[in-house]
Amino acid sequence: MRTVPLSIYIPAEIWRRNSKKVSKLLIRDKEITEIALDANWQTADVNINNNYWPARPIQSRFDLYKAKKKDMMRDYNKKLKESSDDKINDETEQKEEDL
Amino acid sequence: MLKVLSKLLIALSLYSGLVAVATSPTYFFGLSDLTANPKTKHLEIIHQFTSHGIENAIAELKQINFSAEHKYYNLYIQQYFEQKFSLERNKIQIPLTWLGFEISSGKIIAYQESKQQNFLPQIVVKNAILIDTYPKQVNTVNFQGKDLKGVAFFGSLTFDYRRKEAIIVAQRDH
Repeated sequence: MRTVPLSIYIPAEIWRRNSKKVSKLLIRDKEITEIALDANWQTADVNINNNYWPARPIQSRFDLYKAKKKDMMRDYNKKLKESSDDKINDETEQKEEDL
Repeated sequence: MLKVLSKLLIALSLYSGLVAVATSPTYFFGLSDLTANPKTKHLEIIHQFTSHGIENAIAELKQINFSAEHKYYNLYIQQYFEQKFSLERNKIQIPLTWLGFEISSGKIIAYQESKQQNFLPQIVVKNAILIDTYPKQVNTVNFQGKDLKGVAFFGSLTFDYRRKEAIIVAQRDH
């Protein structure tokens, strides 16, 4: 069954009704299978772990940055290919084609 | 000649006014998240400030032209955050490791970590980031962690030109 993501923007004034808890009724033709609040991290939300239904574990921004930095460091330490390596590869491929 | 000069002066002052507006941030708000990670037992800090504001503050502090092209861009930003933000317990500074920063949509997002502390209550937070440069600057530090009994707690501290340090007091999560 094909799911169609739909984004809606709710005015910030909704929090004026009640700053601790608020609800919004969504009426749709199809069954809602998933809800994500602030999926693009546009609000100053301290805890994003409770932004999803069904609940899903979210890697924190901190962990994401550390992982990204680790990947960058790993790539930094990776030995660069020399131009002579490319030449040898090209020659090998040419020989294979000739055969 | 006098008319031309006065027109030139007016034009120059208008231009410099526009440049000042263009280079100053449009809002004076900074946000830092201070989290005691229960898994790693480390304190994790994430700062979010306008990149424009930070660059201007460093330029003013060091009396230099400062932008991403500067030779010591990364170093000066690190030094700035380390000078303007600190944590203390019992008047002893908690060492913070600088992990780095990234720039996204005009914001600098900076990361620090303390491997020696994971207990938040009674920590004194000193935060003067951009406050000395912009009198209107208001910084918020959101903290979350657990107390001695393992009960979750969270809260928020506010800093401005009148208050550059504050102590974390456990506020129970109900």
